[in-house]
Amino acid sequence: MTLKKPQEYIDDLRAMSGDIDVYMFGEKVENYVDNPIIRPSINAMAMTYKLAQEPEYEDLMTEVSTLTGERVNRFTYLHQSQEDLIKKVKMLRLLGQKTGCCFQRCVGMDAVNALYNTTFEMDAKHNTDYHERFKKWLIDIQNQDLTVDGCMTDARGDRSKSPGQQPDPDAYLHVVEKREDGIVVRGCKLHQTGMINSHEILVMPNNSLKPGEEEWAVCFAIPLNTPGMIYVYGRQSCDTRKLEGGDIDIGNKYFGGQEVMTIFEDVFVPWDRVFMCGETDFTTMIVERFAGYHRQSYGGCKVGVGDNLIGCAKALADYQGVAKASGVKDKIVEMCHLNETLYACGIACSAEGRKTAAGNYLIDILLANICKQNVTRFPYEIARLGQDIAGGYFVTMPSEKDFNIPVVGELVKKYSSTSTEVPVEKRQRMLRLMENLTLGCAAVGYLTESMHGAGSPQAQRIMITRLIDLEHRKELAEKLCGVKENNDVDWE
Amino acid sequence: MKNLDKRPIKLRIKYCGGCNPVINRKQLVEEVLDCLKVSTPVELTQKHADIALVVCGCPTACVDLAKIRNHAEYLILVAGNYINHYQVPSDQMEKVICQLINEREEVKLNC
Ligand SMILES: Cc1cc2nc3c(=O)[nH]c(=O)nc-3n(C[C@H](O)[C@H](O)[C@H](O)COP(=O)(O)OP(=O)(O)OC[C@H]3O[C@@H](n4cnc5c(N)ncnc54)[C@H](O)[C@@H]3O)c2cc1C
Ligand code: SF4
Repeated sequence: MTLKKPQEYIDDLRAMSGDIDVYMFGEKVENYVDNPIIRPSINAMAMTYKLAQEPEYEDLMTEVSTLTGERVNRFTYLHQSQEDLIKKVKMLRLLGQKTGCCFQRCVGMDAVNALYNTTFEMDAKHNTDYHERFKKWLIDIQNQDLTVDGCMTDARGDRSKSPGQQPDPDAYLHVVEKREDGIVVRGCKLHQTGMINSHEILVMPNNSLKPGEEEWAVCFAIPLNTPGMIYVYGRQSCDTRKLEGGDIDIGNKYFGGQEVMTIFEDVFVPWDRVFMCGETDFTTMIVERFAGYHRQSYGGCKVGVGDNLIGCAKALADYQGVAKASGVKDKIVEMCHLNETLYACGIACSAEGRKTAAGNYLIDILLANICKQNVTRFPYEIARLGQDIAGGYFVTMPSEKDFNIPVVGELVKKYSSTSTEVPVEKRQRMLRLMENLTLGCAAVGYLTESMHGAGSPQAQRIMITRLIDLEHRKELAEKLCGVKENNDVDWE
Repeated sequence: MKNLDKRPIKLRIKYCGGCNPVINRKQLVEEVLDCLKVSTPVELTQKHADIALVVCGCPTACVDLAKIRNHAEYLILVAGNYINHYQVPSDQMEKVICQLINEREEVKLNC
């Protein structure tokens, strides 16, 4: 079976959940699949399975694998062309539209593509066999249509110190023992998007490492239910709304994201699942390529969520009677302009992608960094404009329960109504969606993740500085104004 | 060196359009030809060649390779600081290209 149905995916999680140590609000969670706080993130992931089943989305959601010859979910696929890279961005936009949140499956796809080409080049230099191991593992992932969580960010301790200088060596995940049959690792990966709703974890080092820091240069994959793994579920703004039993105040009725503190407490990894062990000279490559792919991803997923936010602002303008005002129309145009600019960046870094030595395609790293740099800003401006159009009621409105109590409920409805043609509940739901997207659970993905996910803004600026050839630009200017001889003009 | 063939190597050089180069394409080709002078007789051609050296300014390498591939036995793709998809330090580019030209029997390429 190559394309799993959403129900089969949820059944997989249910089967695994008994073996997994998940903690939330100070307690162990026994059945996380049906937990109301966690379930929306499982629903979002399930959508990546559902759309792959539908003929009207098949072209974006699936592709024939070069490894197996079978049609696989694009989330497990190795991009084979610039067109594939573009389709990836379109797929992510589609899923952002359908879920209105971070749907979490992309981190693994990006890690898979980065490790595929990095292991190939590592083997060519070091005569290792990581690439073959990785391929074998990936064929399994494709055949079973598994979800992979890509893990890069460590706890990091003191930011001014490298992994080798930290007072606590566990601040960055590292190898604590090498055995004949495998390695033992210890550490913690923070912020892990889509962790306990995945099947497998794919770990990479957090940063460029130097000789002497070999124990931190490690890549490997393990199933979620590997002994020694501990998962502590991260809080999101307004998360306990999901425990209140209603379906209005949560804003997004079905979907949500998930971030998990993922602790590796002396975890054993057999050699056939180890894809880097000590090759510090390839840590820059894996970090840059994974980050590059993920910075491209944001040019799709955040745009899809932005489409929802624009729709929400438009609906509120309609419901509240300001849709015809030129200032409001102009704000919506600005929201669209910013959103489509992000999309243009995602498409551009894909269209300028290139083939790697391993055969799969890599985005244009400079343009992917430009894309992400814009993502660190534009969603905030889109959210600001959305909040401007919404008015203040989305942060001061009484709870949905207050709309239904005798007597006072009628007054609450009366003073919440805008026009006789718009039922109060419609406005109420839309205001809560605005809250969800710009301040609530989805703002974790739409705003703060836009800022820090795939690297904080400064990380992109460092890459831009490295990749832009300023001397070339200086020479262009010097030739134009006559500071330098211009041999191009050789006619009379 | 596996250059058993005594006749000059027919070399076709094809540049990309050069919109946003991160390397100096012309200078690189001059250095390669200089370096080959010592070891390998070369005949430049625009027709069927033993080797096509495609010199693109950046990693995107937007030249249409299909049009060239059919008119050369071997193809060497320079794309910014990558040669045949492997990153090469700037100061070793010309050396690596010359080596690939001289040892062409071993470089059935994956471009
Ligand atoms: C919602 C969300 C989801 C995420 N999902 C994932 C995921 O699925 N997988 C994953 O691996 N990671 C994930 N991340 C992690 C993300 O990549 C990191 O948050 C990001 O790299 C920033 O790291 P940090 O949070 O430790 O912040 P810090 O590194 O502490 O950065 C805080 C500030 O300090 C600055 N700074 C940091 N170090 C230095 C220094 N040495 N010198 C000067 N300035 C410095 C930064 O530029 C920034 O302005 C996610 C993050 C978020 C918020
Ligand atoms: S932030 Fe975007 S790219 Fe990353 S996992 Fe979420 S949806 Fe995917």
